[in-house]
Amino acid sequence: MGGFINSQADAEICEVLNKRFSDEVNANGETYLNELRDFFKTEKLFDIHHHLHRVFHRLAIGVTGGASVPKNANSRLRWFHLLKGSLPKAVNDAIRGQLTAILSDDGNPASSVDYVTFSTAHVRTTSGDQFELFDGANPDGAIHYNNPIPTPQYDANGKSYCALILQCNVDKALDDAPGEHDPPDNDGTVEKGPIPFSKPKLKPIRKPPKKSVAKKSAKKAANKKAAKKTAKKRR
Amino acid sequence: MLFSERLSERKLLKSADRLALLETLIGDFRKAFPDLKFELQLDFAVINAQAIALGDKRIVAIYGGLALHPELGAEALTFIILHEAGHHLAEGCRSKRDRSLACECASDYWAVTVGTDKLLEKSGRCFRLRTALEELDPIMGPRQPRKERYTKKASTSGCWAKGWSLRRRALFERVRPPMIEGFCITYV
Repeated sequence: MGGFINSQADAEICEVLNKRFSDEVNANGETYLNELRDFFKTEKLFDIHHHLHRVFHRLAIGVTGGASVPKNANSRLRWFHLLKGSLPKAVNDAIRGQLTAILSDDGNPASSVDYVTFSTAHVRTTSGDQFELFDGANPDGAIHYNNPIPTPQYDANGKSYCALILQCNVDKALDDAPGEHDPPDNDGTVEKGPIPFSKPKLKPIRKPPKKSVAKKSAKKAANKKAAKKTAKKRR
Repeated sequence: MLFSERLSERKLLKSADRLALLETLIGDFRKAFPDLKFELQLDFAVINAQAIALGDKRIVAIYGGLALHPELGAEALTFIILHEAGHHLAEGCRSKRDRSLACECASDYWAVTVGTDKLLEKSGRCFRLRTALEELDPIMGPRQPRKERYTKKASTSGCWAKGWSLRRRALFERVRPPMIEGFCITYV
């Protein structure tokens, strides 16, 4: 959501996720979201054998090509700590449920959305808990909070999407996490290798060949000669 | 917003004058832009404001850390609220995090052109940009440092919103943002 003063760590987290789950086209001509759906067939990233902070880290380094997100180490540890154990169980379950539905190929309505958006908002939560997950559909419907089943919506261009909005109720900075591991410990044998993220290759910009100075001056001299000749003929 | 800075309790300006100013200001905005919901969230000490789209509800939230900031006066607060309203009402380039919202530079441009005019017309509130920018300098300068390369290399949009000095100049000169459907700032 649009904040007046940019919070770098928030921006990095949301953007890396938005990119990973976007409808931008990768090097193979498929969207980044569909590329992730393909990978999901081999590894169920959001089941109980996976830790959310580890999955986030793997998704993020796939997008950045290796750099951890957020860049600031203190912010990163605090973010990992939040995902690892500070989120209310209902929020944790809702995140896992919604992303599983979005990545599955079981024909559920969310399994075919074009993209997913991730954002945060400081608002009162309906439960009174510090955090709540809102699907962006209808703020008056209790069903849209902490629900493991996502509600697909349509944007102004007719594209379908799901929104994951982490709402924060309490005015308190995220807890420090001095004992947190960076990068997070791997989830063992359930991990099936790096999560692919095939960036399209940028087309090299072709610069027009430089004309050599000698050639240029020779051309100029020839032109001058020709001009002189025609002038003489006219006389 | 999870990592936004907070203003310490002792710095919050909770005088009767400030609260009256905020009420008048919000009242003017409600008159000028009745389709938006303006909320003062003074219990949050976050130094920020936010445009939030919750379903059909278009909310502008101003948090205590900004609303009660001792260095900000009426002009800066007016600009901040106009900018947030611009996220909901401006056309052109979209925000990466929520495509129903305008991006930062489109919101800025709307704020100092269409938004300013409409606010004056509907509520009579006149807004002085120069004063607003001077009030914002000490707040925004350290928090939005200028970076050499703040847009993606391949980007053609030329978004300025990440560096305060560029943003300030663009606001003052009312530089038109690119009217493209795409994304400008990238952080990763």
